[in-house]
Amino acid sequence: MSSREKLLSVILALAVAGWWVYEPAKTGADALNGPSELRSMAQAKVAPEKMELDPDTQSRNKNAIDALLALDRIPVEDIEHFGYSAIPILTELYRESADTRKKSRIAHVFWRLGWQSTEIEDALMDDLDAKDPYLKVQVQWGIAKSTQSNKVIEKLLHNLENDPSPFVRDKAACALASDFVHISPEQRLNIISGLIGGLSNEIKQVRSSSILALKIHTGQTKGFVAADTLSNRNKSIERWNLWLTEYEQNL
Amino acid sequence: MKLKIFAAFVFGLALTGFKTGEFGTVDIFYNFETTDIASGPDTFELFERTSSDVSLSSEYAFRGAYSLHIRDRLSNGSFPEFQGYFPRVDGGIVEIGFALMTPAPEEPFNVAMAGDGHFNLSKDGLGFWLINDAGTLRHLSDSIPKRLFTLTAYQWYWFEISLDITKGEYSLRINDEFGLTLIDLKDQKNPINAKNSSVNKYSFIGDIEDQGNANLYIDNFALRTDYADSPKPLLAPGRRALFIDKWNDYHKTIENLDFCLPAKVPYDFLDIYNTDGFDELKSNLEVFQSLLSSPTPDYLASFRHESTLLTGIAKWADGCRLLREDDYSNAIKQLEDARDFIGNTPATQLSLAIAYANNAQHYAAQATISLGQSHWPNDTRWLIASAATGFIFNRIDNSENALSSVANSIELDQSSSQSLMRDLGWLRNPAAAKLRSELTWSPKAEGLIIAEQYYFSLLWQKRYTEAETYAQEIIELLADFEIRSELWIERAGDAALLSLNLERAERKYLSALRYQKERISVLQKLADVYFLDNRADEERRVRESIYGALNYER
Repeated sequence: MSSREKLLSVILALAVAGWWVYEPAKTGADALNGPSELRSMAQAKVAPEKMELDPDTQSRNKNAIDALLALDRIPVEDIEHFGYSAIPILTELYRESADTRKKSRIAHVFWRLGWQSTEIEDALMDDLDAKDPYLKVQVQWGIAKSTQSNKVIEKLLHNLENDPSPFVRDKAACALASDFVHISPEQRLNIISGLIGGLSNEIKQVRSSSILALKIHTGQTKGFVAADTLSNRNKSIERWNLWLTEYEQNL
Repeated sequence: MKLKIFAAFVFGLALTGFKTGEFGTVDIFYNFETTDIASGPDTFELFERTSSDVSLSSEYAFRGAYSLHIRDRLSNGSFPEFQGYFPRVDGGIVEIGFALMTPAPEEPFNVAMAGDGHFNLSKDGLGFWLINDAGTLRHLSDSIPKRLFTLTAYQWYWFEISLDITKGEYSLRINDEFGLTLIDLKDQKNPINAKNSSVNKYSFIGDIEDQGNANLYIDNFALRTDYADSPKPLLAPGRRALFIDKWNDYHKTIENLDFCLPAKVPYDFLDIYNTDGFDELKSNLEVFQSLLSSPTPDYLASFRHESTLLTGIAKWADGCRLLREDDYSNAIKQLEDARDFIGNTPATQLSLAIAYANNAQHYAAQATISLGQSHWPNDTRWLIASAATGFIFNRIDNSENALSSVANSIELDQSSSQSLMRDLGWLRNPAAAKLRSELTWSPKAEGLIIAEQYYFSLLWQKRYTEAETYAQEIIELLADFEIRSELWIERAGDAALLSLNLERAERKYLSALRYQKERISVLQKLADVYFLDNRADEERRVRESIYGALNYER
């Protein structure tokens, strides 16, 4: 199980079964896990468009970051110390590399950093169609955590429903559930609306991933069971659509 | 009988001149006029850090001279919070009222109620949530942040919320400080639109991600609940039970060790991936309850149901029946069948551990307990199971044998045993529990677990002095190998406390704190020692080091 799968399992486990944590000493700050537009407003760390450094410093920093990327366990905290000046270096390293493993690691670093940046988005965008599923998944996560773009949201919703790889589809749902931390309430609505669309997919796994992501967003399933009969599923989807209308009215 | 914390208080609304509405008896009331209210696990806790503050302020008050002031500062790594506790309510009505004012409406803050699921969007998680979204007050109903109104700076608002836990709905009324009703909503779905989602805590907090400068004043907080069974009264400042009482409760509940530990909640029968099981049990509540209330063998034998979950629970109930009848091998068969049906749940795993132990399947019992502890590290029933199995295994007939098993385990592999011993000793530490679950059972590991079990079995039999002596011997044995174990020092203190030798208990706890000064379990029990020894000032100092002190603003 990948660390992201574990993370998703933990989120689900918390969402479903947090009851057995008897420890009272948990602050609301530790535990509050509400609608992501509220979290996104708080978490937004927006990078400036351009970070200019003198060429010598740029070169030194590039070598240092490249060396950090080669370590078995990437010390993201050390990269974070370079500040936003790390972004053009990382995107340059990403573009220069033909090694999908290295590209995946850089995408993972972007995910860990969580900095909103169009520069990151531009660098990763093309690899949302990468042939290597592992790279594709890391790019899905990295770009989701860095973007405010509707195009990325649409692409991930597309991957969730249409990618030939079940692995990629499932991890697109992970990103749609948790990673879009810089988006507006309207964009969040688009994600939720797309996930509700995924409930009608012919592939059971897509339906299952979609309802899981919806549950992470809302805490609810509205009675939807991926393996249920078509008739029961449609009844639940009807409930979701009514709910969506009300949500939209409250924006 | 109702919970009474401050029975003599007059409800805040009466003082304000507002209509008191349907509020009746007050169970909890804080007017924040005095520092003489006790923090603790059953009253309230303050979370604050260096540059933030939760304190009593005379700057503004709704009524009286003081209010509670919560002051956050952007990006300082802190989350000042006032979090209050009350006995779990899983049905009926909970009513709360409070006055709130902010001089900075644009800064985010949250007011919430939740259950054991904490402040998450989950069953028994958030039961009510008010959100200040950049000056617009919203409430989260049916997972939708619904707009209430735009907050005005320096305006006191009076909130009345009545949660119908059974229906999963609430009413919300908000008045301004002149008594004008701004909001009067009925039948609002709770945050996740879930019936019977319990609550036991509330929270006033700034933002969630340390990106705001919340500046919030709270006054005249009141909470009222009804309980079918009267909750225990506060026994000591801030708490309804001492550590020592928890042990005694287990003694009362379990006199023999050949039956299933009681299942506590429906979730005891749901594995973590079963997202729909609760609804399934709820819609078959009568059948579910019949399976939990000692059903007859005939009922269980003829039990047929389309629900896989209920079929599994029936098998569990039958396994427990067989366990009580000392038919251990058939009990195991039924319980393993139950596990096949409903997965690894607290109910199946705890019962299997007891059944394996009674059937002398030592390794299976240990492995089951270890797995359980890794999955549910904060569930104290695993301690009971551990003690139970230790008690059952007659192979440990005296402390000398148990000690020698520890010694042998160290002699087997001294280099790795030091870290192993250190980790395995941390019975309630999730990381250690995980480590344990991954261990291949070996004489070495077994010896260490046996030592632990022997200690608990002594406590089980109320042989506290022997338990203390045994813990002391373990401490000395470990010292020979240059291993220091705060946990065993704590255990020696526990045994002394259970035998009411307060002086020795204090000495042991202070000794444990020398090595790890913020060890909460030790601090809690040290507070118990001071309480039992009538040393109020010391009790307060230690308790407030954990739960915070409500002081006047400087």
